[in-house]
Amino acid sequence: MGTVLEVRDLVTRFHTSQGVVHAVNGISYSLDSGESLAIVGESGSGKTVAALSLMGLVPPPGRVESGEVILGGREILGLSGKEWRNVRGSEISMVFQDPMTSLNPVLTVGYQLTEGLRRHMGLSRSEARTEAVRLVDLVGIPNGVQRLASYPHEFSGGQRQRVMIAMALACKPAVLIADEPTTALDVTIQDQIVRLMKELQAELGMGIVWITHDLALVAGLADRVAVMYAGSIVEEATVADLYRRARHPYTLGLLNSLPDGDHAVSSRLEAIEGRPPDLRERFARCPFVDRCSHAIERCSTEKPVLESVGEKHTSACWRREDL
Amino acid sequence: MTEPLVRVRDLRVHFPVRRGLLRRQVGSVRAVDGIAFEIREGETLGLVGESGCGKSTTGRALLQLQPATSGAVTFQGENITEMKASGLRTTRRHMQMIFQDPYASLNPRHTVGRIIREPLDIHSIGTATDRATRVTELLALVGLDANHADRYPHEFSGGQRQRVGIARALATSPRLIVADEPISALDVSIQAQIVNLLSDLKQELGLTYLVIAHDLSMVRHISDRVAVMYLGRIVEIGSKADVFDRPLHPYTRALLAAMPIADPEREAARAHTPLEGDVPSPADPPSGCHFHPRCPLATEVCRREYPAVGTVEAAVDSVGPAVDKAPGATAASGPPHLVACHHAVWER
Repeated sequence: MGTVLEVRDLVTRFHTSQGVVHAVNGISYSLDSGESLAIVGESGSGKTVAALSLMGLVPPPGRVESGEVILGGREILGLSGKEWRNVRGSEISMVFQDPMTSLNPVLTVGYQLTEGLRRHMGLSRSEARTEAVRLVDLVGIPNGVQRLASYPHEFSGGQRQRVMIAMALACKPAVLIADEPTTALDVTIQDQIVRLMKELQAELGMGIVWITHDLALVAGLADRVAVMYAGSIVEEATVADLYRRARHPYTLGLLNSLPDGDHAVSSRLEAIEGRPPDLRERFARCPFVDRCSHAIERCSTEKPVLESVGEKHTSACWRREDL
Repeated sequence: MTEPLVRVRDLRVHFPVRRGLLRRQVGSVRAVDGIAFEIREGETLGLVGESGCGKSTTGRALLQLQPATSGAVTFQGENITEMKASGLRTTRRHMQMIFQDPYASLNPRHTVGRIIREPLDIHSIGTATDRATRVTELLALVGLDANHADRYPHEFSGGQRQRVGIARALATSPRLIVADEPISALDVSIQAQIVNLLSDLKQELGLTYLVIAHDLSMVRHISDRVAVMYLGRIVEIGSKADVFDRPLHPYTRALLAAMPIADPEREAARAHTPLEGDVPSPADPPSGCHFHPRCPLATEVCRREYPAVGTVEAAVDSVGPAVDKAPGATAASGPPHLVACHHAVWER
């Protein structure tokens, strides 16, 4: 179980007409093969942009400004367009939130599935066909041969997501990035897809980066969790530690705002007041200070950095020892 | 016992499916297919189910935003499905809706003040001064500032826009609020704010809610009673404790089992088999019990006939004395715990 992916001090910014948006402000993490890391955050936290940065897919006016991404021992941020195409889909691939917008509606599923196999694996048309049938069977779609001749709209939402997973896994990538793969799905279908991905991970041994806003879902699928806020990782821990001993006020706030299933009708949820900051600001202070009930003087003048609070547990908070 | 605020009897909403040059009707989507329930004054009924189960259509039919194909919706003792447009307009003062997407449900060209005032204009409530005062009052009620009235929706965050939507719904002092997925478009940290606001408003103003949602944990938090829908029908309805702690329908159980738990240890400890298959199309529902193709308990009778909606006691009696009655199911107060399943069983 070696490290397959290492991200060091990744910075991605968007140069818009309204100013520079600091979407990702120097995040670092690593992923072992066969491991699941969840990156949790709200919209605007930078979690999706961070993932797109790894794939070389940041849309303009966004740009990866600095940092390193080491995939299988090789730095990939400096690759040319052609080199990217060889890496993307074969060594690292991605499953997106909405399978309807990420599949081409005018091409059959079979065509889209074999395209990558022929491109990356150098398979012939008929070999790719056979492999595609095996893949759709692997992800639990019955009648593979017939289904490959179908178009995306002929599949249900859950089935489309299975197709996306089959495509992402076609070339046996070392790293799979799953960006909210179940958010658009119903809860019973979400359950099926999560189970499928965990089974496939156990079988194929790839590392998975799960990107999600759903803390309840994370509890069942990740080994480690990194919590993002305003473009930075504010806490990272093993899944058990994060839920038992969270050491950042934002993480604590998120966990407390979940309904815990008690039956008191009138009980109130502990909401985090206020809202996330404007990312056009370059933070010289803690980005969470305005919403934080633990804030002290120092939080407004100096931005906290990630420091260890225990084994494999880091928190970016000046009051991490008091929480 | 007093008359419930809302009483729905055998409500059906079918949408025609048309094909061909002459747009001939070739079938119908039975979005809502014969449902019945009541909501008592001051109560919150949660309506849950997966996409396409007809929960939103039910909410719209309750307000007659979507005409019913058949059946009756009685509100404050009057059958609103038979009302003429003018009568309906008067009644709608007392029943309002909160929508899912605060980005799509507010007119971007109107100021927030105008958006909130509009229901007062439509129903000719008060003088111009009264209405202006009322707008200020409503803004304060939902936690916004008075000066927000002159701003436009795009200047607000998602959570604030949902507050505007809530203020608009409250403008005419309604008795019933239908909230269709009121928090699902919002961020996690904002969801709790809106849920708290909804429960504060209920207490302060004595509101009655129908909350439509797919998020079971939120429904569990805010509801007094819960109804579970599958393919146009209510398969189980009961108090929150009945449905969440003593679920009887295999579909309810599967939904609860699929609900993620925010606790790694409990999550790892539980074992369950995920529900197989997809939700079938409401245009062509399976024969008999609509759930039978996915149901682990299905037998011949399930394929043949749709189960009658029965109380827990009826279900328990039919399977004989070996099974215990659900504790609390016989409690005298409140409507009974009902389930539509041939094999509903209470297990100890």
